[in-house]
Amino acid sequence: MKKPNSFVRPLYLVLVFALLYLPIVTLMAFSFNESKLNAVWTGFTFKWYESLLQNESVLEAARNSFSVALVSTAVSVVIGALAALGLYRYKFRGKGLLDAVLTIPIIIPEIVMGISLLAFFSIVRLPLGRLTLIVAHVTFSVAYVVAVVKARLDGYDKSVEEAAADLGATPLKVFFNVTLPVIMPGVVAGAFLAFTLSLDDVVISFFVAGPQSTTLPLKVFSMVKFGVTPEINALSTIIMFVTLSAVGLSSVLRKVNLSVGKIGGLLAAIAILAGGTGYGVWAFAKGPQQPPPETLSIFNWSEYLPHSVIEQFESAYNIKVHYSTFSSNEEMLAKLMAGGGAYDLAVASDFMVEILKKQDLLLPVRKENVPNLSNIGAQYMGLPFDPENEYSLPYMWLAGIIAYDASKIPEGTIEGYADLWKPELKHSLTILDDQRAIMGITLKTLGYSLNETSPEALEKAREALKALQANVKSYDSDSPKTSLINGEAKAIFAWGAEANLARRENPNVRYVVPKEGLFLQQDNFVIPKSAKNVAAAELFMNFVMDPEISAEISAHFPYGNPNVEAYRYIDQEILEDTAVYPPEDEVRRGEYLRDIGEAVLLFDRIWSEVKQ
Amino acid sequence: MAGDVFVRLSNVSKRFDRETTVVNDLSLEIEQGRFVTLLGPSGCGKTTTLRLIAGFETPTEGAIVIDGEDVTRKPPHERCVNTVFQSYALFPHMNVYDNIAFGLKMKNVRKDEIRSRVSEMLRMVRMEGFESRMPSQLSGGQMQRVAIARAVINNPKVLLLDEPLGALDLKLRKQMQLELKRLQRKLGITFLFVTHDQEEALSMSDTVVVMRNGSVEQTGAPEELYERPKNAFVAGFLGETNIIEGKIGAVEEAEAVLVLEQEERSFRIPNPGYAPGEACSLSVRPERIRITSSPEVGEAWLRCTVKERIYSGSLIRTIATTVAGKDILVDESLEQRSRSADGDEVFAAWKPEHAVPIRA
Amino acid sequence: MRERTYGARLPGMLVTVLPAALWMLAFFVVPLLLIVAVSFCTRGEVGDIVYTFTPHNYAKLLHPLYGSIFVKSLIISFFTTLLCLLFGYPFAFIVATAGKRLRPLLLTLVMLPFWTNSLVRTYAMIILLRTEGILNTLLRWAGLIDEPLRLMYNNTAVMIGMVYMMFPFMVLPLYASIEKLDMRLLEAADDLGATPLRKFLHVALPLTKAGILSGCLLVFVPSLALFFVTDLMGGSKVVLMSNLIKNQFLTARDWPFGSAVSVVLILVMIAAIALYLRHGGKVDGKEAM
Repeated sequence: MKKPNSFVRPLYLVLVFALLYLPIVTLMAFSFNESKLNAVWTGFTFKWYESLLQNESVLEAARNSFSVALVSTAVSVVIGALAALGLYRYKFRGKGLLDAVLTIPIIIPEIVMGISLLAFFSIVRLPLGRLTLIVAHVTFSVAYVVAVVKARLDGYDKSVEEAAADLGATPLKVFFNVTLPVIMPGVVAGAFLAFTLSLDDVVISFFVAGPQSTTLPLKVFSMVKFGVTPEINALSTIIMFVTLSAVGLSSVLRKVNLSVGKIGGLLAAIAILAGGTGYGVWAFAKGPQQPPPETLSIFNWSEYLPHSVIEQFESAYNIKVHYSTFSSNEEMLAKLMAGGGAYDLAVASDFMVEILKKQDLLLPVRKENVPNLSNIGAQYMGLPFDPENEYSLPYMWLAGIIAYDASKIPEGTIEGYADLWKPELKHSLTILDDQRAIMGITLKTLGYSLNETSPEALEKAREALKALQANVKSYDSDSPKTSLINGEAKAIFAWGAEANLARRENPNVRYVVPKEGLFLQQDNFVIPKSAKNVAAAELFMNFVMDPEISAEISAHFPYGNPNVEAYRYIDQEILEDTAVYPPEDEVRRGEYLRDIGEAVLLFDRIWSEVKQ
Repeated sequence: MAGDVFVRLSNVSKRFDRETTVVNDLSLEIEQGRFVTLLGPSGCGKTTTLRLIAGFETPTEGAIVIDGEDVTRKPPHERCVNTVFQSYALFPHMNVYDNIAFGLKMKNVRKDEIRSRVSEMLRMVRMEGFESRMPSQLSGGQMQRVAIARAVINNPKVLLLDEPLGALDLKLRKQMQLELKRLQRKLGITFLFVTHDQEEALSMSDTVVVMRNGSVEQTGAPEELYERPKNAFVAGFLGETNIIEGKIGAVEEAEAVLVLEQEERSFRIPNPGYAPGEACSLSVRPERIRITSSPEVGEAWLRCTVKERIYSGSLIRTIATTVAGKDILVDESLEQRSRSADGDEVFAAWKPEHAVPIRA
Repeated sequence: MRERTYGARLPGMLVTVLPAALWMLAFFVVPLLLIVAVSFCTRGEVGDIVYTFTPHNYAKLLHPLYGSIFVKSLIISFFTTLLCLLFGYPFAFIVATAGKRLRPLLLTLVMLPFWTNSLVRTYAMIILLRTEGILNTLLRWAGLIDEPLRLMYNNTAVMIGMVYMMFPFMVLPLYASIEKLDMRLLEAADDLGATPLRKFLHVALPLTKAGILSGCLLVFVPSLALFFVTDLMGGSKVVLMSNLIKNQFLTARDWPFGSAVSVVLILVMIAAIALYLRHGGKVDGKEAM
């Protein structure tokens, strides 16, 4: 009976390990891949590592992650170890309750903790930032530390403490000479666990991180959504390498006998290591110059402003820019309303400007401080949502375009929104994850306006949208072009610039200006009421409206540019690209979104329902 | 000075919660330089008494005085006693040297003095060369000796030992008993030893304190307790004995008559003040009785029938049933033994001075 | 275990237990109670919280739309747990019965993916499973398939992602429990004529129940919270409870409704714990370790 068993077992192990590690190993391997796409190997290179190490935002996120992890580990270890001791030693009323409260965080769905802390912080008006991150991380780490130390205490012979006292040690001396050293391995293990959990935390950090305090996992999250370069592979490989060494270190530590003298040396070593790493990351990230005294917090759509422009602004004015992004107007509004951090400058679409105005969340713009405003074309000023441009200044405009891969879909198949419903497009579409946009175009196919709110119309739209689901492969507002580039989708409905960028990577991409009429959007700079550095915001707006800078933005993200003075610097090819600059008559025929007031609740409901 | 009362417990009681009284109005005097053992069954309060003296528990009532000093409220680290724990309680993260040196370190003794004293201790417990070993690398007996060294090095006024030999195997235990005894003699420190093993107590102690249910039953030298137990419990706890129950019949000045009705026998016993009709028992050790077909003059005897005979190496134990139906245990050496067989009608006989009257 | 009775107990107790108690009260208990309270409020026109008492959020939950989200979440988590168990038990068994020196190594190897960033792991999965990802490329190159397999952006993808994420959480408690199993019992069963299946069902399984229960609890409940797995592997097409909550808090700004959904999630957790306890699970932080 032994024979067949003897290779089945190792075989199973190998199989499971292979499954576990295959994705990771692939990821690591492709970090050295020449090609951008994580599919075919084209050559060996370190270039992704190089560009990663120069990526300021990644380094900042790393810095945040490490400092938060260090502080939260320290706090949770002290609180947790003491608590474990107390729970072990004393009996008191409510002990069972405290025990439970300290165990539940291990089991509870993290998202519940995340939102509860978000609610808590917003009600006590604590701005989201590094502090809130630390508080959140300590809260879940404490439970783990307590569990680990308790496990260690289980085999603990209490008479050693009595012996120490018997031999003349005061209670304090007993603690430091006997109790602490004996539980030290447990404490160290708990510290290690807390540190790792903090570094790795996604769910809770997602809700309580502020604009200036992105953590590494959150940075990776946003990078994954765009999934464009293997920089993220490189980052992941580095993270894994760091983790591996930490694991190796801790297992070595465990084997070492922790005698009193050694503990001191050990703590010193850990402190040096941690301090060294932290300092190293810090120094590397900070660069040679002195930290600038001023900061500017900007809240913008993702993939809308190139890093090069930010850097130029920073060096020109010696102001540090904290750049946060959102994927939808609603998300921006939610964050602004939650008071989650002071943004000095934000970008809002047309109808959203209306809403923000109504909610009294904006400061008036002092046009006199933005002289470059004169570069903006007149047809983009004074639009219905802000007739006097009291609160908003134009940034970019865009049109919704359908783009398809001509090698997969024959030309002429798609001519308008309605064609997206065609059965041959089953499972082939990636469309914007934007309820107003998608419901809007659905309404248009039914002959209504983008902003229709009548219940009958919405009912029909709902049915139509449900039917569309079969064709939708995925929703993506962050980087729909990715799907068209890497072949996941055959066609996308996205903003013109995305279509243009897709075509740069995939020459088979063609555009369709939908025959039902364009869906247009004007995005604008606004200054939130909670802005702290209005002067810097105004400087930035002015800077961006400089013709050459504006052209640079367009070069990276080819959206419709309202800055007519910048046209002479913009690539002719882009100016002629119909996805970015659709024919004038179409633009005139096009519709903008308006604020629909309470009807948005109905839209919400339908949207959730449909996505089911 | 040796022999003076060194540790005195006066009316000490210890209660946990409201219902559990572990030590009940206990008064005890321990003489300096003696090897004293607290002996009793589980739960009799002997360990708690020890812990009260060590300072790990505070008495609910009463006072504890050591060497003239009232230490009742003093925490353990301020008392001049040291304990050897049942589980040894060696500091797992320190080696042998540091363990032993701990008490001296706490007193801020100079490094070189510590060094010489620890070496001396190691020699005394025959653990030279073990300085840098960790407790996890030691055997039970070795840990035992380190624990003793760790305690003794501090020159405590009293050394408390809480069932220290319980975890050792028989041979090692016997060996350690001798060593401890020798150590005590050599150091001249008062040893207070706790055990439930009566053989251990008898062989090692100068004084034995028998405890039951939180109180002292009897205190005295081992021989005294063995030969002249005050009550049935002490008699039965120390070694085996036959308890023969009866009633006082006639009472004279110096003597009384103990009547065993069912046996149809009566014995004369010394009279410390019995009243007629009082219940009284006789305790006779099995080794003091002999089985015979004809008792000698002056011997006390009981008629009985041989029920069973058990051979156990050096002794033959006879179980004989009396007229009243009581089983008498008789231990005889191989030479002494009578050649009786199961079912024989014989006499169980003993010298009157070997029978101890016990009041109920 | 004896309590300390000498010296003053109170300072010791305060120093050790109080900080943790206060912290958890302020940052764990209170926020949770807050959520429960908010779940009974309503959403203002543009997403503020209007503090009135109304159960209408819970009524809203009874709508079949949300009911189906709820059921789907439970089903996916259930199957995730089941898959983890099915793959994890033999794995844990083999490790637990491996040579003594091999065991720590094997365990570390299982834990290593856990120590790496969960997003990284999810991303790694995506690379493998995408339409033009590694797996499809390989299969097509090998001629095994013509059309690429649609492995992404559906419920299956989400489940694969979750299993990949939660696997170590099942293996560790199982291992702890199996390791304590006395192998001689299995030998005795053998001796009494039990087939391997019977040995497993009647001896191994009941005796390792503790590990199975712990593992299931530690996988099932937390898996309900993995919104990013659903986001990334499901392409925003799959909407589970966690995504619903996230949307309500960040996008739709209906905090009261989001809180109500969260409360439901908490109730699910409580139900799971109750089930766990009733079947003999132990409330011991150790199990998590």
